[in-house]
Amino acid sequence: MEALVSFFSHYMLYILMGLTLLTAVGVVYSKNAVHSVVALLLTMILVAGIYLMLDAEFIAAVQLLVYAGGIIVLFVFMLLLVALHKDEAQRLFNTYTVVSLGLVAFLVIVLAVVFFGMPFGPEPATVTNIVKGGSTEAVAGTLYSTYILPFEIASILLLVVMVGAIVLTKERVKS
Amino acid sequence: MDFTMINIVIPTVKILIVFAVILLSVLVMTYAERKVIAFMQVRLGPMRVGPWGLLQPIADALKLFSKEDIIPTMADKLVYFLAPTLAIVPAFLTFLVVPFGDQTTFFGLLKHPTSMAISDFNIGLLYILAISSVGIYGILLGGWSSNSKYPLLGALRSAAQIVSYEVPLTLALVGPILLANTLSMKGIVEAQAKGMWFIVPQFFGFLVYLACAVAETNRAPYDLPEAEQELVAGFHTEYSGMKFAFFYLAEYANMIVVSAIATVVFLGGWLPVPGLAFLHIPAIIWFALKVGFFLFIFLWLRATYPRYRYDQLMQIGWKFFIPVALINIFVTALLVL
Repeated sequence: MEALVSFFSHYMLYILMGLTLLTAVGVVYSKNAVHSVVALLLTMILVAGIYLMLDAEFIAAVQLLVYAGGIIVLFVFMLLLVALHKDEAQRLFNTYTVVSLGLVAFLVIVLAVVFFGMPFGPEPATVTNIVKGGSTEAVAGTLYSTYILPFEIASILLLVVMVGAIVLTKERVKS
Repeated sequence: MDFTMINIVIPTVKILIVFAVILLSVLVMTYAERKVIAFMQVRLGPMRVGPWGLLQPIADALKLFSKEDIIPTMADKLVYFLAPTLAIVPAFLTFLVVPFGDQTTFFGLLKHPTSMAISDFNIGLLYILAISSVGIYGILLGGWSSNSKYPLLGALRSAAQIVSYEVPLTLALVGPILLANTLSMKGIVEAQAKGMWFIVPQFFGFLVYLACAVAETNRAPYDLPEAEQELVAGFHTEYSGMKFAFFYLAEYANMIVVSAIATVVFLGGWLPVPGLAFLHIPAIIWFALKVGFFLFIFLWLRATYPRYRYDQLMQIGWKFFIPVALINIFVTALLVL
């Protein structure tokens, strides 16, 4: 039984990755925009699962809370107000095959460079580590000591964007 | 104890027990809701099925099982089938980390005591918030896929309401987390065992949490998504049979979850009321009593307050609850420092 569990928990990561790719393809190839968003939601949940298998349970929870629970709700919210059936008859794919192939090749090369240059640590021990205490404190410690300056810069940037969005929409209401 | 016992048998048994308890509580809750509100309105409530109408929930459940499953012709079938599942799965998943008591041996069946939560990990409270934020898709997609105007309007209202009230709800829970210095549900209760219940130092946080919890579960006086007079039944108007029952179950399971969080975070979880520890009442009974108290508040509010207007709802959420919760966080953080 112990062997079976460790076998399963080892391959769970690959199962999750495969499913993530499948749902991501579903996002692109759905004719109906709401089906795309449902597939995107599943992708986000599965990405949270991948984080979980990599011992990053705090990131997994935040991924669910922010992406699955926040951003995609806004996507759905917008879609509900659009007459979708008009788009379904149209051709939804562009024809710039050569350009897109070039861009994809470039992206793959960049990701490969990042991947092979990454100093990977030991293999994650998953569930055992999370139940023992997890990485939440380590994340907080790193974020608020070593990387405090980039963190604060990012938060100011977000604040500026938020104020900007409010100002822009207010102007339009007046005119 | 061997590996199979610890990692497979005990968790499975716990999951089955919790599942059965939730389903039973939902049954009792539907009966209690009708009875309590009936008494508050000087009526008798259900009286026909069984003594004092006690078998009414069972009759209701049987009726829902045997009803015809109607699918609107213009419905988006895939999403229409998916929506009730998306509503109910997160509602049940959140019970994974709820600690019903300290430790138990299942009446002496086990040699070593085991925790009364199915699982406990360091991000328990964050996990509940994360999982329950996914529950909104059941409402949104159910309303859209019915392809009918009342469900769509109900779904839109519900989405705006839940997204707005999730912010103050989360902020209200930050104060107790700061005091307890942990996100683990068990850790929060243990922190309260050392000092006082967090309802005392976090009274404003508690009030904000309570109001937002009612709004998150779409209950009166924040039940705009299913306002009967305007929207028939809101997002689940076109649903029937077991799919409708799923939405119903999800709503009640969510009520139990938010009550359990309030109990754990503000009312000391399974701890006895200060001064009554000599009674030797089991921890799980205390927990059930406290959760029951919150569930009663839900019914009490429904029988007492009229529904808010939509602009009022948004105004209180953004311009009152969020500032109060933020001030509460600042004051708590200052005192903790």
